Amino acid sequence: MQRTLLSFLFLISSCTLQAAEKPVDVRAVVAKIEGNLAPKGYQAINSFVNTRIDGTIVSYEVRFQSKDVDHNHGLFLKPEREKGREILRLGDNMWTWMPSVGRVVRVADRDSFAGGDFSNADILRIDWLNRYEPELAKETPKQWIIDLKAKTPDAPYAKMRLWVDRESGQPVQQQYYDSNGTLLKRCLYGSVQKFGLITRPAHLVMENVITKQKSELKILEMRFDQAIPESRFVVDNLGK
Amino acid sequence: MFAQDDDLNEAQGLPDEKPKVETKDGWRLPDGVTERAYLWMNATSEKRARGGWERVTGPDAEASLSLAYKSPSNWQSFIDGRILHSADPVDNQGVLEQGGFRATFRDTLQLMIGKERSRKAPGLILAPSDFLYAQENLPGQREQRTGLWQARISWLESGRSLEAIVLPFDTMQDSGLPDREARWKGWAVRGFYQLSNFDLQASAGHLNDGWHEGLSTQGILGAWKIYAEAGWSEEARSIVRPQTEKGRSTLFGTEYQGWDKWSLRGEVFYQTPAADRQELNQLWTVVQRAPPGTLHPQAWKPFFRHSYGIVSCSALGLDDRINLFMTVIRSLEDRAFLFNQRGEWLLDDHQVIGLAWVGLSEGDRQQYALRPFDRQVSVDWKFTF
Repeated sequence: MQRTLLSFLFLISSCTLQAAEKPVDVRAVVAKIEGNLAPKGYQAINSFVNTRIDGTIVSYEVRFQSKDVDHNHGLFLKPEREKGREILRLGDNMWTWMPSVGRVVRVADRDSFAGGDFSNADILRIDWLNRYEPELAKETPKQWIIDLKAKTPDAPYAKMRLWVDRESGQPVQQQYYDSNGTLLKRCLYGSVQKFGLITRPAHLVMENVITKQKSELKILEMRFDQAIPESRFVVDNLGK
Repeated sequence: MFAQDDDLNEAQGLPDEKPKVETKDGWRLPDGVTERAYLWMNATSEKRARGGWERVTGPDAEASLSLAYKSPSNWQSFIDGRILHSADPVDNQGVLEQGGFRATFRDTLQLMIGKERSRKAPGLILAPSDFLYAQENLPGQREQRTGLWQARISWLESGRSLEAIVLPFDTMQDSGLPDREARWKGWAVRGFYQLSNFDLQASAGHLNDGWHEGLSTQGILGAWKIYAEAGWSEEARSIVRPQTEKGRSTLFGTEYQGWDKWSLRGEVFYQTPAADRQELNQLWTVVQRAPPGTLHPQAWKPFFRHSYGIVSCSALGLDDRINLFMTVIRSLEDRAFLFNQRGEWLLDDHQVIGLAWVGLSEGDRQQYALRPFDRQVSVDWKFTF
């Protein structure tokens, strides 16, 4: 009887140890974050506040409509002098509509978004798993630290490091590096909220480590209940 | 607060904030309605060495309102108008820039009736491939949104489109409405296809009793945008010879967009319906004999001869307060050039103050003999509601 009990206890402790040592599926962790930061079929109103080292503050409000990671549309609502400007992203291609001259202009991907520290890729195209290879760098009692190394030459950054809260699965902080390993930017996440079926940070602060300037993004509204027509993602429909 | 760059310590995020519940009081536009409105004022000083005159005009003013309504049932109406006030001579004029109805069927078929502007050609100022929507403004000057009266049916999909356009009126009144004696202008077809990182556009049409064709391509290679345009037009006429001939114009350009705020663009433009050396000498004779002040300023054209180089540099949001635009148009056949520079101060969310300076080369017997001024300085203020 005593021997059976000891064997049973040994079996349970082995299973527990095995469970504790089971490596985290970093790809699944990153996929979940990516899915929440760039969900399919949503409409959102985001505010951007760019704060400069001289104290200058510039604010923008943009309505985004997204079908998936390759189909995104943005309409500037504020400031008033930018009202009516549109941006459209189809895959790697971006266009902007300028209402003042009634014309469509093709733009490169790496431009900063609205002159701030978020790049267009940070806002309109979060497809990390397609462009980066995730790898667990360290596991702490509260967080997973995941390195995302570029696997395609068109990735905006050579490497990103992502801190993830183990309990909630939400991102806590992210750092962006160039090919020399120089830290370029870091993003802080906060104010986790539920929007429809997803839960995600509603407040992001991106700090440019080089220029010491920062930009803030707040999600004012996010809806999944409105069907976005395919025609929204057509170059010819910009401005219409 | 931040994790160290070279270690793997736990990091902290932002402190949680309670979501703000924004109460939007007061009058709001109904759902589906978008608007854009502004007030613009301008004063100009011009100087001309020939005749030794200098004049200051203004303030000219402009009030503009654009309204659009998109219904949930896939139709939309839109109107875009301006009221212009000119100080010298005193004149007030209402102008309809755009207006009409669009209806979309099955999400891919669109019908539009009204006055509309839709320019996609990549050229900065000149667009040889776009025979429908001209751009006369130099970069950074006042808005240009004049549409064309048309009925359009389009097949639109992400990355490709095809449209057929009929244009019933060949002339318009100053108000932007069709001229009472307007004749049938013609028709056009336009196609767009996105091939990987490149856009391809082709258009053809029969307008004003002449055939027009246009081809353009543009693409992004890293931080570089490269583009080319070609246009053929039976309507194009020589500057001094009135007969109709088939004109050809081409444009090659590239723009570097790799800097955060700055961009630099270069273009080479060539056109066959232009003045050659002999024609320029004939014109110079006319200019010399003309009494001072009898040459109409609108006779002047910035692109008078065959070939030009255009270099443009712009900076947007310097210190989040300043926009700069500098453009040089240099003739590749003589020493004539046009230099346009403009600065904008973004005063606040609503107001922009602009200062522009345009200079033209002074060489006699060169193409800018008809120039209305040698130097022009203008200041403007815009308030967007």
